[in-house]
Amino acid sequence: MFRKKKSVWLFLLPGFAGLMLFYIVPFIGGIWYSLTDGSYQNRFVGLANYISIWQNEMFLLGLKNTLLLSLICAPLVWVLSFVIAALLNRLRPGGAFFRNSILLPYLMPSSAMLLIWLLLFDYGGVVNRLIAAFGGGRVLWLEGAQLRVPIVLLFVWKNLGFAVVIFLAALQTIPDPLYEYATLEGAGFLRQTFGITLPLIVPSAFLIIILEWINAFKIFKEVYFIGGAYPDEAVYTLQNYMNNMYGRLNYQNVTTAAYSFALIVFALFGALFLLERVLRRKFS
Amino acid sequence: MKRWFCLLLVLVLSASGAAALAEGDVLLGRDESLYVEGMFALDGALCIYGNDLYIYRPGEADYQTYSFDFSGLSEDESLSFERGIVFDDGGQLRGFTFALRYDDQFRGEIAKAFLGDIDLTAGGLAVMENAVEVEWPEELTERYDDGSEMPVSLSGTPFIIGGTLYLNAYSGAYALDLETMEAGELAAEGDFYLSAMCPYTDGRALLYGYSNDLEGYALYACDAASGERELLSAVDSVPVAGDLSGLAADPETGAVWCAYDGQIYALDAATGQLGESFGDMPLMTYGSNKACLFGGHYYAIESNGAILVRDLSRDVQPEAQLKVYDGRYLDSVTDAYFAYTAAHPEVSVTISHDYEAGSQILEDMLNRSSEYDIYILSTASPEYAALRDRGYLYDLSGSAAIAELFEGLYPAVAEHLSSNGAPAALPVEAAVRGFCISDDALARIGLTADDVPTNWSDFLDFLNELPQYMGEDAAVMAFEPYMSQEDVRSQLLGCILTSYQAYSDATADVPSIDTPLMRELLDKLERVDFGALGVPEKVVGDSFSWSSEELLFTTDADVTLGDNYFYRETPVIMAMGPEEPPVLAMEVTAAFVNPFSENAGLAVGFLESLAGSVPEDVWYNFCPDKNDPLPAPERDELIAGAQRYYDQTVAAYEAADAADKQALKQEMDSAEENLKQVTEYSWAIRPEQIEWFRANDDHLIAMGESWFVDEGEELTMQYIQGRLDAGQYLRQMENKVRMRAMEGM
Repeated sequence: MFRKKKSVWLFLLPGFAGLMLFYIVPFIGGIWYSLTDGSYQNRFVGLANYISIWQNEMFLLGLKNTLLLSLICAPLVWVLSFVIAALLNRLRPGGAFFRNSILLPYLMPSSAMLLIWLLLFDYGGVVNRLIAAFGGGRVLWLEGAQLRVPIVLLFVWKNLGFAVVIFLAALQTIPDPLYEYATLEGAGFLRQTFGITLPLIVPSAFLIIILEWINAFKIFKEVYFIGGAYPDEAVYTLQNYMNNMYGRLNYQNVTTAAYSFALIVFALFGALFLLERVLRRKFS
Repeated sequence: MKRWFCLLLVLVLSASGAAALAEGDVLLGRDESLYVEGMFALDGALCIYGNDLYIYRPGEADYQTYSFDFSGLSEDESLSFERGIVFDDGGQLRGFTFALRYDDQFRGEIAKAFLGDIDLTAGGLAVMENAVEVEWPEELTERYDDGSEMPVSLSGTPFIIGGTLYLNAYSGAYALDLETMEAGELAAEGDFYLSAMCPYTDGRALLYGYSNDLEGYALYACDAASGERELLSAVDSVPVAGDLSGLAADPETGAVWCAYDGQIYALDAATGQLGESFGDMPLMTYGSNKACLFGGHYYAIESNGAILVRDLSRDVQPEAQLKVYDGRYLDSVTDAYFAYTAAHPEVSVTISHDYEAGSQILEDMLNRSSEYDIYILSTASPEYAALRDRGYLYDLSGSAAIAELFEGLYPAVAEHLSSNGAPAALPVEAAVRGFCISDDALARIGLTADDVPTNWSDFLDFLNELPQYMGEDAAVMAFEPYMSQEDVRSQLLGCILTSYQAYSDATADVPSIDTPLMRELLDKLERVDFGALGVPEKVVGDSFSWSSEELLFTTDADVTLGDNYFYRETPVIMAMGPEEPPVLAMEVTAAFVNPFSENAGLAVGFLESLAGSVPEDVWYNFCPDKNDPLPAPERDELIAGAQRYYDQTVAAYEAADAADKQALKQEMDSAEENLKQVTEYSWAIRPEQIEWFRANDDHLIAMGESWFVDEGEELTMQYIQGRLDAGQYLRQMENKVRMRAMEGM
């Protein structure tokens, strides 16, 4: 048994070394940077950077917008992907075509998708022309706070497919007889969804919400490509702030912002994992 | 302390005997700016030809000059002989020359061509002898629409292999059979774009260029006689293969040499990999530098009229190396190289123009990279602003020479180049942009420079009054003829934004752009009737010409002291409004030492050399106490020549009969006028230019980032295209400005 344990460590060593080298050490190094003054001498200043950054309006604005965008995008993708997966699950045979098609946006390069989106939402683009055809006024979708709409739609369009596939896989593990029994007992679609489907796919559901939330936190390049380093206040994200700080060699503010956000994310996901555990116990 | 350390280091390193540009190395032609059409090896010597022929023999300090003499080829005075190609044919210098004949409409034709030996006489002549008249090849002839013809422009390192002359032309490369005089184009299929070629082993030529098949650069061996071309290797490990230059090979050993990014390298033809660097190549490379091997172990490379010769047989390595990133391609940096390495032969200095070094400077600083010791870039760049703000500039206060130099600078410039109160960057180039008014063009419409407002607010109003004067002369135009109304509007807005940036940097504690002043200016700009000024809505045609007597305004002119002449032009620094001061914004290029450099002491020494190499006229822009006019280098010679000519005309006039006096009087008056103009204008910097500059320097600033222009580019374009009105435009610009300020910038 001791020999077995020894060999286990041997197999784990390369992965552990990689983890140390590429994650743990940079993580600790980043914390050190956030505690220094930002000159090339890197003098220790304690928590001064954290105090300063939490008083900076632009950091707070970026943080607020990032959380707001994630609160819109992640649940939206979750709900839509669940509904689509549920529909696709019932579409047998013949659902394979739709299952494959819905994954395509996920596979497309972001920059290509962005160019398409720019064409669609341009002032003279398809969306505005449709609106005008129905008697509405053209909107400057790529300016100001309206930029949120194409950003959210792009996020949903790109990430929907992956979430649908995970949900679909989870739904297909639910035995059909459960639904048959429920139908015989007089349970309708909603009762079956909330009574059978959702409880049995809790782990997958939580996986999706966490993945989508992580993806939503990373919304930046679309905003930067369209709005530049200083887009409208409504779409100025934390990554805009960090990118601008990086461009000014203010590595200290970058790491301080990153670790501040990391703490928020840890708290948030901690709460989600707690909720997931409670729900799993409840439904098991 | 650091200075003494540097000196001690130099003394220690001097004892090692290592060398950068050492014994056996020489630099030719730099002071004379030779015109070099081609060069090649000739019997152990280097033969260079351009306007004249030059022979350099190893071990000598300089080359010998021979003037071409084709007078013996024909007595026909209507022929105009041109040098053509000069080449080595088994140790015999030979020439392939041509003669042009022009008709009364100045259309040329190739009347004759000759192939013959070139004899170098003791009297300094290169005379063509034993010449045989031949037919100039059709493949080397360029024909024009007017019926004239000229030989294609031939330049490079011509060489003979087995009776075939390999030629480089701007339009391609050719192999000329000297018996049949038929020329074939190398890489005629269009699949390969030649950059360089040289003689190679086994009777073949080595070709380097871009291959469409490989989608990259490659080395080929070519036998023109058989038409075979063999791929040797793809050159895909060199980061910017198009910059690889100065190809030269030894036909006996197959050793290949080249220049890349400030160094001379051995190039492995079989693998396309660069070998060990041999040493510095401080001259600029641009992909098509001429180079050759001669005398068994000498490598010569040409760049803009200077030729560096290095002895490849030396087997010493420098004890210390400096690497300089020169993002501005300055001659003064090359001058500093030679001055510094002459004083410190044990130090190798690489001058790199690698574009990526400039674009990733911030990453290099974050990684504490010591790859580059010195950076030279514009201080108006965001990179410099970040480095300065964060203190990533080496403290230069330890250098007495640089500290003393700082005391003579404009305070605004000195402050811009300091970090934490200490000198941190050395100014090496200045650029001041402004507005120019043509005195001659104004005179044609009855106006003078005093009638033109010198602030944007009044100037925009003036543009609406101008059409009533321009009717006086239809040839006079307000703006360049290749610009449409949208172009002019965009250009003026760009100038206003640049002026506003300077004004804001000079006067405002907190930058703001959505101000009553800017709203007023945009409103006025929108109300200018460019059509009435003759600016077309759409530009027709693609070829335009005009003279300074026809163009009223140059909106984005170079008004730097020393770079401009302002002959019959009035420069203006436009103020924003009638009550606002003009702000003279200077873009400064500066050199600074990498704080992570492992040779900081040596790097500071290089900066001291660089300070001494910066041209005198540049300092006039930085130093308010330099007020004596600066003569042009050839001023005395020009005045003496003009004076001699005038004296000759006076003497001829006085000695002439009454009948001839009238014609000679005109010539004398013309000579007198010429003398006056030469005396008045042969200055590098004239007194009135200095006076104008100093009169406008009350609010001189060293430009920082052109943030309004750069960050607002997309919004500005939308405004010009009418997708935003002025209010929306300024509000959104103001948003960006405010957000930037709130970030702490």
